[in-house]
Amino acid sequence: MAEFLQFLVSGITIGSIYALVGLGFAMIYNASNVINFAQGEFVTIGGMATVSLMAGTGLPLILAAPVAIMIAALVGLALEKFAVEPARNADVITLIIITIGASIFIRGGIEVLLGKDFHRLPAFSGDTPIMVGGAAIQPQSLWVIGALVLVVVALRWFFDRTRLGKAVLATSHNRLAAQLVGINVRTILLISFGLSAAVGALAGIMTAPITLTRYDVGVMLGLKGFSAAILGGLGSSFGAVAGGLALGVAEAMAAGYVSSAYKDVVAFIIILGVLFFRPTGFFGGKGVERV
Amino acid sequence: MRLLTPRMGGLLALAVVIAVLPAFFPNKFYYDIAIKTGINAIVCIGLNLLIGYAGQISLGHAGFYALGAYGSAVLTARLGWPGPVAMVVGAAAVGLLAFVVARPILRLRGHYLAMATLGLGIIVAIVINREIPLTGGPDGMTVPALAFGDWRVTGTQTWYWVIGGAVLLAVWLALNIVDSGVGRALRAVHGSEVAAETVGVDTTRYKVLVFVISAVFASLAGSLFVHAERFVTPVEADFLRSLEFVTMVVLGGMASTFGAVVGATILTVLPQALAGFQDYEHLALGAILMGIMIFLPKGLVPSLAAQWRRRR
Amino acid sequence: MNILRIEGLAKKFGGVHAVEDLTFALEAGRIHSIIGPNGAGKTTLFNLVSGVYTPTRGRIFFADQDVTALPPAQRARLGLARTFQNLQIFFNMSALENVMVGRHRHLDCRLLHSLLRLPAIVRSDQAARAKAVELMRFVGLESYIDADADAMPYGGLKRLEIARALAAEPRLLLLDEPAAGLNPAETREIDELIKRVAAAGTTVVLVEHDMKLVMGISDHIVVLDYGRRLAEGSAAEVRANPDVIRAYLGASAA
Repeated sequence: MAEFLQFLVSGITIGSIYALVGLGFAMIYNASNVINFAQGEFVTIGGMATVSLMAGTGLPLILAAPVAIMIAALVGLALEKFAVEPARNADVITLIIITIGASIFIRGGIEVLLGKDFHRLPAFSGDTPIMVGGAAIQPQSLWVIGALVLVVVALRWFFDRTRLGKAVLATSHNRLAAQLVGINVRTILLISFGLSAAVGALAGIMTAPITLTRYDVGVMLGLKGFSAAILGGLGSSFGAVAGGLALGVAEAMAAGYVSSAYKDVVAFIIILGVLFFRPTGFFGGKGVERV
Repeated sequence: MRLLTPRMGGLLALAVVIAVLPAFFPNKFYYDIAIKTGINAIVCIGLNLLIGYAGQISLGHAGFYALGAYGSAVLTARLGWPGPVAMVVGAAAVGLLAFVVARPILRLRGHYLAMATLGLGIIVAIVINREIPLTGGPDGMTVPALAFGDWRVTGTQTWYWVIGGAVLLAVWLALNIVDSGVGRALRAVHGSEVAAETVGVDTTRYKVLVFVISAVFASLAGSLFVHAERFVTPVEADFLRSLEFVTMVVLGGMASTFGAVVGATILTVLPQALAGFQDYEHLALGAILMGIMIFLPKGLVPSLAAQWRRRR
Repeated sequence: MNILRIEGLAKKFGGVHAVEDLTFALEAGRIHSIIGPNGAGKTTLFNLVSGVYTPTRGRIFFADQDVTALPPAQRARLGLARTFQNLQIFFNMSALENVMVGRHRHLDCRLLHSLLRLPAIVRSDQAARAKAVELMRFVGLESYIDADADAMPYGGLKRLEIARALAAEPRLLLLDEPAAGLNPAETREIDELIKRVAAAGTTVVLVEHDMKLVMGISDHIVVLDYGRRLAEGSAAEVRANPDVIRAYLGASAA
């Protein structure tokens, strides 16, 4: 029982990261129909920038983190403006390759600027595990899960209660109609990219104490976050959250009870399964092509 | 007919280049780069049929390449099979695998398809990395020489000619496919799947077909690779390797067989030429991908060809 | 002989009944038109007949063979061809290649033979090319024989699609708004072309809004309204039908 609880908590923790990354994918997809393969890089920026700021300028974590998030948001805005916007009308394959190129570019930039080493952030509230029912829970896990809850609540409030948030929702449902009622779709797009990047960076900062950070952590996290978004159904932001948590738990259970060497394979087998049998995911809708 | 001349001319020109090139090689290192270029070119020629002509995408082709590579490696090194037999059996097995996964995968479009191929490639990479007793894991494994009976194919120079011939063969086969009913059916699938169906093209069958063909090209290239280099590591199955192949196709020109060769050449030779800039490799690769897709989405060769045609 | 027979055909999109309880038969060797106000279900009908949509209910018979469950490619191989309201040209190919693809069901498509470019393949290709040139002349596109599809004007592309459809040597040709977006002179040319196609033995079914074209060319007209069959008959009969006039014609009959 203690073991199960251990795996469960571990799964929910890493699942929260996947959920945050997946949220980022879903937000951008909703606003622009683009799958941003560079999403994982925002996670990397979050962790690496925070580490560098703290080491380089002596800023405490509480200040370095928001600055890192803002840096990530700016990179997100630049990505939209310089890579996605010029290719607005290109076909899907072209856009996919562009964002892949962007992800490699950003990763290369981080590699050149900040090196190839692993870095660690100190745990926010110490390393002493909290014992619950025989399972040892790292306090950092609670920070991670807390961050997810905070982001979900904040986004919910943003979409339901603010004009800007509603405009973003409107754009995702029907871009043309949104334009016709005077919503500046360009701005919405920029905001979506910036928000996605910020959320991704937050995830990176939260997880750095547990999983370490390096110039290439974004690759796997990006892929799994994307899987989370597909699992939940690409059209649904909160489906991505459900998808991420489910993925994290499944992975942890497989690692614990089957084999930890093949843990990554679990995630991709699940994804292939979803893609083959129910590509619209749990909460996604179906589209009809008009000829 | 009109179309025969540019094609035969192109093939002849390539043959001449391959024949004459070694005269400019100061040492063996250049032969090695040429060999690697040729092997990448073979993968790209097949991948181009899938991406450029049929309009699909694969972000996991290094998986097929690595399966061909490790298939040959394991069958020859661990089981003592003769090289040519291992190569053919490996290609057939990879073709079968591609066939089996193609149908469910190719029902997907756009990013779903990209994700599925990516997932497959990663699964292959992980398995190769973990099955240490079989594959030697991350440290890699050595591979015996390719032998046809008593003749052992060894020596960088010999391999240059072998690969050169293989590239010419691959180009010839690809050109034949493109300029045939099968090739036009593939391009029709890319142009408009609905319209292709209504003229009698079974689009699923053709997508599966080109997927399998491109997988077999990759597998054969992988087998040639391990026998030429006599060594292989799981890096050949990496996600980044898949992206390199895609970049080569995209850079050189989608829907252009010679473009695939050009793309492979540029992206194999350039990193060597910029050896001091190893650290900037990712930055450069990413910039190239973005730049080409934004400004020259058809790739180098077709864009240059279009410029040329406009001047006449 | 009835080349096409529809029985109780219905197609629902969510709550929208695009086509409802549709039954009629089309005689071979004639020119038929399907008309009706916008949203009447005409293009949906074409999509159902060609296999792009699956019906919610009902059956489709092509030359007395039940094709309801067959995918589009197989219906094409039985001799059904069509053009599209929103052009579906293969812009990644030349004009001639577009027409050559239309010949698909008559081509030699054996993989190994194609890979090795055996003489049989070369012959099959040359025959396809010759036929495509002939067809481009037939539809009046001689000057575009060497052109790329993306270099052609709109009117030319509409005729290219017809050439592509004819390349299959179909028994039944469905033309979806062939005159849409064309000026009166171009429409007259399409009119001539359709007559030539029909004279060569192909049954033609038109969906069209241009009443002058429809009334002038059709042997038989089916009128749809809200997905149902409103009226049917010769041009004169339909023109005089009060239900039709009320639902649709207004002042547009010539």
